[in-house]
Amino acid sequence: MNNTGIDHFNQFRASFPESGDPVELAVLLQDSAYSSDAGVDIEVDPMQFPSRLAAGEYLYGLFETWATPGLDTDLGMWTWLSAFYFEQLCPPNLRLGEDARWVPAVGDFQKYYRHLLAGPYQIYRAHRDNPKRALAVLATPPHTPGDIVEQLASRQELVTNPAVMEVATTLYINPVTELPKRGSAARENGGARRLADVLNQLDLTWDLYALTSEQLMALLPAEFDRFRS
Amino acid sequence: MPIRRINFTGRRRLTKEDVEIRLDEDARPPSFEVTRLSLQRHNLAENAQIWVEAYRQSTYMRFPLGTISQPTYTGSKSLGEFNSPEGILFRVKVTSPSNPAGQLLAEIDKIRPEMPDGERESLLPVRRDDSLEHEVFRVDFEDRPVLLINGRLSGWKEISTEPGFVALAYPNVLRTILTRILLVEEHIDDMDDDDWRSQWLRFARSHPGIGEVPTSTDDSDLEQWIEQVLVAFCKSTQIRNKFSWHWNEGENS
Repeated sequence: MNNTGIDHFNQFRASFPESGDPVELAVLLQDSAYSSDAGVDIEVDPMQFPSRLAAGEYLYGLFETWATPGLDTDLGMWTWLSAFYFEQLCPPNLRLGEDARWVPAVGDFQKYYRHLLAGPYQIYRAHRDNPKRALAVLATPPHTPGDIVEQLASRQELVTNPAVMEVATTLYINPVTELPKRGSAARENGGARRLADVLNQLDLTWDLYALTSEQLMALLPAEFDRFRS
Repeated sequence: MPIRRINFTGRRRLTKEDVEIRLDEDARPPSFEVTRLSLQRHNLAENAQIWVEAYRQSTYMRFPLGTISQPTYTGSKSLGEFNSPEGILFRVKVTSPSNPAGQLLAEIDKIRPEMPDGERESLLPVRRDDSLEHEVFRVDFEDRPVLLINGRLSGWKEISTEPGFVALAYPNVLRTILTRILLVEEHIDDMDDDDWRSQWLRFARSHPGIGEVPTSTDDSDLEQWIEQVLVAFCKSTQIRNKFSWHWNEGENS
């Protein structure tokens, strides 16, 4: 999507849901005044993603197939994809939220991960050898990332660390349902916000990348016990 | 008066004098080389392990550099996870191999690599930002101050040096940065070579007639000092003349 297209997409969202004609979106996606040829010949499927994990997996496959350097960080590409999947990215309450969810905040990592598609894609790519270790930040539907994502995905040192992601997934994801456990997003009592705080403290003393998930788990205080099983 | 820092962790703080990294931006994928690694003065255990990490957003790579007694840092290392060189930062860690393993003994973070020609990044790097919507520019403080120019403007690179833009934007950029340092972060130390805030305070002090940074905690004293810096900055860089030239050019065109 070009700059004119991005401007129109911003206007479309600003007036949503009062106005916001789906035909308008289709025009943005296809009209050469708003979107230009990316120089690759691959079809994007209009599929439904039950989770951020599924979205990340599909998008990783797309970008691997395209194999065009820089395309997976392209502002226009991610905005086009947001518009293409607008219907399923739109939350049930129709509140679209901040711009960074739809147009990636390039250059600002603390907001970049908030993009509803680029965020899951980046996390999936970082853990592509075993994506399920990062289920803590990939389990929810794409339109509702949730507080665990907010707490853990904004810190590069945490979200790229296999041991940290394994610990977070063990603590907060039900292994049977693969959904967040009750209370996992709590601000206290071993919730995700506390985990981020504790990890920030441990990061001052430990090389977190050198620790295994078992070693890291052993360093956590007792308040996390209720999530360990 | 310099601020005194207390390090409760016992971790040694490495400096830019200890480590130098060069990034080859032309290589595909980009690659880097550790061109200086001089850690002897820190008295670290001989078997302590050295690591260098490259990162940008959620892309991350880690390389072993041997031990304190047997460092193995020479040679080019490919950054295969990164599809472009822009914005890659580095950190170097020294960790204990045992008792307990993984303890952080020394570290330096946010290392900006040297360019192949030895050029260092300026005090105020200028970057394109496509997410600025209707703003022309903004100062970003994510890591250190960066002047973001709206990438949707044609010729965004040239804008940062255009006299009219310089005259109107840069004094306010300087005021924004100094206000952030002194009033928001309450940082008055200008002695720390590795800290961008100290570098900016030294830049401010380098202007004619500007004295020491006030040690007073009274905001009005700090605001007054910032205004003195602004006056001196505008005078030494001939801001009014720049604007006049820009204005008259516009009238004549």
